[in-house]
Amino acid sequence: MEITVTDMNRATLVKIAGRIDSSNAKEMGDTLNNHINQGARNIVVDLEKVDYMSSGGLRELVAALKRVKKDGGDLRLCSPSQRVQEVLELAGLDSLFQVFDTQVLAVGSF
Amino acid sequence: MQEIRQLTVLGRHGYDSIPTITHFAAEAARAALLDKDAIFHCQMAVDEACTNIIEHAYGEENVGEIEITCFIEPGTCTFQIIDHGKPFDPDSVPAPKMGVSLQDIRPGGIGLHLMRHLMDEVTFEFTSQGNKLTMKKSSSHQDEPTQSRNVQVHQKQQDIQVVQPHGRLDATTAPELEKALIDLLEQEKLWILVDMTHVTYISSRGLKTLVAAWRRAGSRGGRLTLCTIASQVLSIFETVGFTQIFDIYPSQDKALTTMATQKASKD
Repeated sequence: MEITVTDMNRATLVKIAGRIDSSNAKEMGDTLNNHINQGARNIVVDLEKVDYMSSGGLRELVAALKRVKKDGGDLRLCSPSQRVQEVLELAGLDSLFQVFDTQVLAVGSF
Repeated sequence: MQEIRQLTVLGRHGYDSIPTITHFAAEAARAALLDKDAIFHCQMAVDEACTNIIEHAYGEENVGEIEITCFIEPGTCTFQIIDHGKPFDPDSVPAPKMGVSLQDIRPGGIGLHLMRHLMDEVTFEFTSQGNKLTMKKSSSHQDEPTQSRNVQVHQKQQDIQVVQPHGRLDATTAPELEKALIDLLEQEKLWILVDMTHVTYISSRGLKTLVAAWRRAGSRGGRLTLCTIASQVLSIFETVGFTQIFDIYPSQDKALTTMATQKASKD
């Protein structure tokens, strides 16, 4: 898994590539937490390059969403693969996150 | 003759082993000639099962052994996963609530919920050997042919099109409905009734498909209306506020009569 973080005017863009499972979900969670600690409130997680995400990854995303929402921010997702979208739906989380088709739309939504 | 493949993850063992385990599950599913989706489902289910064992049965990493055995036959793959941790009672895990608000969401239980949805059969036993989990998955070869039958389109009075999707409307199946709706709109058939009688579940992707078509039909002088939505699906519409957007009728006849009047007044 690779994580690239870019600070943009409207939001912090977190691009993830690779597989997210319980062996590395915490790493993603830590990255999100670090940026939230540094003041990030509007976060876009770009899932385009994620081909696999288990509940470990979902849990970290939900935890980060809860943290930013508390301070009036939001964590939005973009471009999930069909597989990841399926997992979000099966877990009943697709209504919890705002999901955008493209990164531009997600960043622009803030 | 059934081929049996076995993998035992021994001793010091934690989340680091998960990639190896999912890789093994995928190999086994591939050897059983499962289709791509089913292979992915096996990987996820075995991943979730082993993650749960480390987290709950053993309570921490690197304390216990997990033994995974695959029974491979053409078209079907069965995984048997044994651990020696705390006895596990699946009924003690409440199912995650769907469509709840953020404050109420409890991430626990998602793994088990996913396993049950991803696999065809999931059974737990507590034996003298320990916790024994058996999960079975078969290839769904009928995927291709049934898909074309998942959405039916009929023309009714006054050129009103009735579209009937079947089953779950989610990321996998919504594209088919989307295609049917776009085909109609491109043929300038702008009066569309989506009969939801046979839809058992709708995801955000399914909702998005309906809203996009509703908007396109409306902007071009037509109308997309819904009828006969099952109560569990209707509650999803209510949660997201879509009952305000769509005209929704309790019967197809009622919807068709109203649409015919609306259309006549526009024509």
